[in-house]
Amino acid sequence: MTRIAFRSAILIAAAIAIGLAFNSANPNGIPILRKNSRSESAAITDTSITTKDNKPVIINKTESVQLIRGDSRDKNEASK
Amino acid sequence: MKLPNNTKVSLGLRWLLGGIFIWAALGKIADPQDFLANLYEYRMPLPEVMLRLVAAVLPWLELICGLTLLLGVWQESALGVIMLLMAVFLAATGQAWARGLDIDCGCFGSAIEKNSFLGSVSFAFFRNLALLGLSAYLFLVSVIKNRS
Repeated sequence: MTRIAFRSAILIAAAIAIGLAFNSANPNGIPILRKNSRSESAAITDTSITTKDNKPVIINKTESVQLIRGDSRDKNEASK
Repeated sequence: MKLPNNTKVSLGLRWLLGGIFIWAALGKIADPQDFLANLYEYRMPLPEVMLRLVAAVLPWLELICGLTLLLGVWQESALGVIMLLMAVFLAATGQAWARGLDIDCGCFGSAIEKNSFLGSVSFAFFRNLALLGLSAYLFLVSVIKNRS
């Protein structure tokens, strides 16, 4: 039973090593430690948010900000 | 313990299980982002880093286990890992089914059509149960054969 457990651990370790190596080499790989571009927070960071007079809005990272995608642009267009 | 043990049947079942795991792994390796999106849909209370690690590593673990079953090396160890995986998959699909989540199981990546019955979590739950039973049977047969 010890032999089975030891070999199972080797299989798992090999999968971790190959998986992480392939993932880092793959351009379509998953960013393990940084925010995924698909996540909502990253999408908000990537979106340039401006006020009605086109001044950039600085968001304090400690504040909780809830945004609806496309909201600021719609308001800008309505004000024109 | 006495188990029905036909060598040819056991070999066929082992190859079948290995083939299923290789097929499942290749579908996920081809599009890891899609597999990660599937994992998010389960809405499990797990750290995001862990989900990303699982999405990067799990397909390779499935591929390695599938290949060892096909080649007939370290079978018992591979079957042990597969039983562990199937237990985790059972818990994941079971909780999604119980919560009524209308999601694709993501078990075979993009190899199974989206929003189809074969990709539903309810079907995946029973498929995982069958595969757990199959891997447990092959594990016991292999252990008993090696001891006698």
